[in-house]
Amino acid sequence: MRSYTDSWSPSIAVVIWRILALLLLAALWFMGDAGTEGFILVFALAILALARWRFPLPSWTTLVDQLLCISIIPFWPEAGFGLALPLFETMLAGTPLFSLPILAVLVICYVDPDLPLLLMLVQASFAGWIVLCWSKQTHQYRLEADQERRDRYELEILKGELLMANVQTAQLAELRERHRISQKLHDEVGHELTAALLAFQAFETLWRENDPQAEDMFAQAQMRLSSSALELRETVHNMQPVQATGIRSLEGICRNFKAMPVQLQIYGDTSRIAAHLWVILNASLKEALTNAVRHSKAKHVEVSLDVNEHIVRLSVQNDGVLDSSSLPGTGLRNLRQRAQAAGGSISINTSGGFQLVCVLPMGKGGIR
Amino acid sequence: MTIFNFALIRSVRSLPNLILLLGLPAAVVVLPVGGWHGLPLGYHFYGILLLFAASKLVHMIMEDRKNKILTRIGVAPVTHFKYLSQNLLAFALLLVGQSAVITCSAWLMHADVFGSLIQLFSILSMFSVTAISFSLAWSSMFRQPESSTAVMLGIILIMAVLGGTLFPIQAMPASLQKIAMVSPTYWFHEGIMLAKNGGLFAEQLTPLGILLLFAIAFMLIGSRKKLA
Repeated sequence: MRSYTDSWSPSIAVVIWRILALLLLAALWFMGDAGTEGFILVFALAILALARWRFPLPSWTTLVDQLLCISIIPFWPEAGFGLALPLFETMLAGTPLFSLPILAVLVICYVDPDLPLLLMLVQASFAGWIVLCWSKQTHQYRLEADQERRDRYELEILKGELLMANVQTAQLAELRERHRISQKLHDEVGHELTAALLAFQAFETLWRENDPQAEDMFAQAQMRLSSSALELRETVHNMQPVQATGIRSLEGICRNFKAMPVQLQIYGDTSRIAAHLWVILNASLKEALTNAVRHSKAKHVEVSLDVNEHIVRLSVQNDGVLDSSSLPGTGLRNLRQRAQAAGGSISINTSGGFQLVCVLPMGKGGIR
Repeated sequence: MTIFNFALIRSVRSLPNLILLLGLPAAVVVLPVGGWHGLPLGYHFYGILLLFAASKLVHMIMEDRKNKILTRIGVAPVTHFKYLSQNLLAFALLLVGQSAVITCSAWLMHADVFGSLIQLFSILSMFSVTAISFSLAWSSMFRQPESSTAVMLGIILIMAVLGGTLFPIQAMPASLQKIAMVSPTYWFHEGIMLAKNGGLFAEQLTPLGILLLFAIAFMLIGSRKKLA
């Protein structure tokens, strides 16, 4: 993967521009008849450029460059080209006011400025301005990219938390339902049964004494028993969910899938599987069946559900030919996250058709 | 100043370093006057010898980098600036001390040759600093100390040729004479000749200033590489 530091960046452009400007000045010194002064100027400007490359120098340091150039100009007129460097730096730093001495020199010393020098200075200020705009833009893009990345991470975390909350809600709902049933059995059925028991005990005593009230007591006990039987039937009837749950929902999905024949095999005690795991198993089965229709030309699907005391394993295998360009999509990714939230995992195998295996832990600790 | 003390002790601990630092002045001093420039031969070649000595000393920093000592220093509460500055100060002190010995010997043995010993000492010590920063800049470009040393020898020879150590610079074409100004050895010879003539100290300021500029430039390049 290429990082942004490898690519063409404003800092590289700045270094290249500085080197070219210094080379031009060095060439002017080499070809001209200037002596030590020219050499000292080029060298000092090179050192300042080196220092700027090494540390972020403040903008006022360009005044040093300008002072150097201006003091050498009387001995070596081509030193005016050296002014391009501070001009570039001031534009690059976004402080063009620091280049005022350059303008003053142009007005005072070069009343009749020659064209190459003017062109060089204009080019320097333009290059500085362009690189400044470029670096500002790059900085802005980088900030935006960072912000987006941060947002994405936050969303991922939120998603994980939501999935965890889902599992916890399912467990809580199960507990509440259990509590409701126990309360109902205790308050209504249990109460009636106790009353019936007491009535029978009273009947037994009265019957032994041949009391004529024994008959009444028997009828009352009978009535209490039949009423508790009715309560029990009603409670059981209310407990029965309208929608199919558990293994029935899995069977329902396979039965209602008409695109190709589905063979479902179940091993183990499915009643041990918790409610929140059934949600994931159903979603996995649906996803695998949808994939079989959409991405492969499968003719047959085999579904097997294994349950043991530690894990539940759902395997969905089709005999289709996988499209080589297809990669794991959003559905599979979401499924994987949901399985991970429950402590399990989703794996796929593409050798010989497409196989999706969902493994979930039965306990709370997750798969070890 | 623990690093400074350690660098000082470490520099004189090995035999090759001791020979370079103590044996060299003896060899420089005893060589007779000769050649086209009217200088004692030892003093003529002393610039090159200083470059070798500096490269030998700075080599220790490279060894530190290679042996991951610099990485270990990086986790200690010592800044890279502190490490580098104290090491370089120790090396500079050794070479400036050597230059002082050489200057004293010149006063004892070649008093008739040199016009100004202060000028001689100042140019020798300034070139010592330049040589150290040049070695630092050079070694920062290489990963392996061996390859650095091999190329360094070639570069020092080129600098010797350009600077006018092996033959008079006036024998070179005008354009090459101008290019020679890019070599620190040129300014070293300029300074030595000025010291020999014994003119005003103000004249000596040009080579001294340019050597200082060289030292700053090489230091800026050399201090960039921090950890291996």
